[in-house]
Amino acid sequence: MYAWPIIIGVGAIFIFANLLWLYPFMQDVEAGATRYQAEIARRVAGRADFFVEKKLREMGDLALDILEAGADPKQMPKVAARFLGRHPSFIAVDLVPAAGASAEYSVGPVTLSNGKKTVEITAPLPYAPYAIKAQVTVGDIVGEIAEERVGSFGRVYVIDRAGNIVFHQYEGIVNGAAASARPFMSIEGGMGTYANEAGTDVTGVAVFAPSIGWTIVAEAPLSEAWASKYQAIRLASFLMFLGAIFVAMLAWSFRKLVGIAERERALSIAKTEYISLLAHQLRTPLAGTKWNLRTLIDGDWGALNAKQKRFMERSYETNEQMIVLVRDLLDVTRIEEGRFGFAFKKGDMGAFLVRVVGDFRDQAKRSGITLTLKKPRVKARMPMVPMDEEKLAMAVGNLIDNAIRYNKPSGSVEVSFAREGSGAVIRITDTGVGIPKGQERNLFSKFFRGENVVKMQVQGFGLGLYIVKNIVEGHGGKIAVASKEGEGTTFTITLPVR
Amino acid sequence: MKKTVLVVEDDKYLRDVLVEKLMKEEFEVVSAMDGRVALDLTVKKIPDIVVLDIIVPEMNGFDYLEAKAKDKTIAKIPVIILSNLGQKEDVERGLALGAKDYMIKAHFTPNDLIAKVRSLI
Repeated sequence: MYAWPIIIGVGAIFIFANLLWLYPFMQDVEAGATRYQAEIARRVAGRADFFVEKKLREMGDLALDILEAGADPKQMPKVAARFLGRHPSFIAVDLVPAAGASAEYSVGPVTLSNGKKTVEITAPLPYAPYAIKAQVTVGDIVGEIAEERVGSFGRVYVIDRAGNIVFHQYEGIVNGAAASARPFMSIEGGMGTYANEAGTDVTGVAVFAPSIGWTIVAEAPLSEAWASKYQAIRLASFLMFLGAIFVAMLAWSFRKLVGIAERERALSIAKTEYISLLAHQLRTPLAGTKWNLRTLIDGDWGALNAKQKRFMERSYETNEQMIVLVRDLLDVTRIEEGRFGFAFKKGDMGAFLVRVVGDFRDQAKRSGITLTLKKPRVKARMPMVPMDEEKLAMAVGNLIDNAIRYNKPSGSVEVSFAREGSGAVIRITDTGVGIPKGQERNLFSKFFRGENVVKMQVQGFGLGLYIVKNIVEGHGGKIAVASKEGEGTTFTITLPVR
Repeated sequence: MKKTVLVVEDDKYLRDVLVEKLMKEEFEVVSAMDGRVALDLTVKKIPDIVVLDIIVPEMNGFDYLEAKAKDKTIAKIPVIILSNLGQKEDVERGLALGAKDYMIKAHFTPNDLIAKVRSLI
């Protein structure tokens, strides 16, 4: 069956539709988190550089003082004391012989000195073979870094020139220890995700501050930085779960439907074959009896006397009733299975009725009933009516047959037709026993027979009018009945003229 | 010269009355109880017309029609299907296989059949 490809297809569409929004959303969340962290890291790096540049400017002032004092190491304690008094962030300054001819300043690693975090800044003294070496507390900048937050749980810290973590605010992280591997350790700046020293999965963005020589890292736990991404994944998972349930239910009901349809089809085929076989089996002896009786009655095997012939005729009629019953049962079966199968062709109503009425002339004569076909009074051309002639003949024939059989002795049957409004109307009027009041509405039901007719012992099974109604309705038409018990009945068939 | 009718019918009750009636009407009658014998007789006797039942042993009427259509010496012989299978599908299938007419046994008298046979030969 087609069920599985459809179900797999629906499932795939579900997953694909979810990925379609989820993937870009995740990328967006990651990019947003990185942008946010980079901004913080850049700001802190700027401040750290500014801090060093400020200290260098102050050391520039010191250099002028030293030069004014003749760049004499002996004068240095006095100059230094004056300078340290004015600049409390400097713990110690010293004049040292310049090692080589470096014109560059340098910033050393962060060290602990008297309980204070300090760096050593060495700057060359111009016009003299000395350099100024200063021990500077970094408390100011540490305070600023300590206050920085990345989201609620993220922090900013520094990896210094020696590759050691400093100013880290996370609990459980030993400052001053060497930083473990980070995706951006090999370059001066970068970004990535990793497990930090506390074992937390984090995303970090590092920006190098060139003046101070620090790498500023803005780090945040993934659980926070990517919270909306995780939420989206949970949402998508939930949607896919719902989808899976939906697909499963679809599959289940589909299978059930297919199962029911297949069973019903099999049952319907079995029923049809059974009815068809039953009809065949019933018809064979009926046909044999019919043929034997007919040839006997016709005198094919020698003439019969009147009495013999009369009895034979009765047997023949009874047999005919059985044949009609079998045919009607087959028709009812086909109607109920919706396989009655109409084949419409436009036909001339007048010619059609001449033929159908003609088929009953003998029967009417034998029963002593006057059968007439009344043509429309107005010689207006009857329009061609779409009809299945064979089935419509069955319907009209059935009504004429009833009109003859349930008539009074020497009664009459009149068939007429006319164009009325947008329909073609056929009327079959008899002078028969009529239908008891209140029984008209059951008239077209299966196996219904009028009370008066049952008493008359006229053979019949009550299938005829059910079939007639179905044939007329199959033509898109309507059938109506007007009757007065004891006086007669008129059946009116109205067929649409298209 | 008498015309020959091949009657293919497995039901004795029906076959007897049909054969008797056809003989009375001055036809030469050959009868077969199953489809295979019917096909053999069709080739050997070359009847003028075949009256064919559908539900017969060995080879059913539809198969008989198919086999007959393949044999050029007998393909043109007219066939009247006389069956009690009366569903629309059966009738359409029989006519599509080349039968000239499809009569439901219970709905026709032997006289109707004779008239049909005469009209076809």
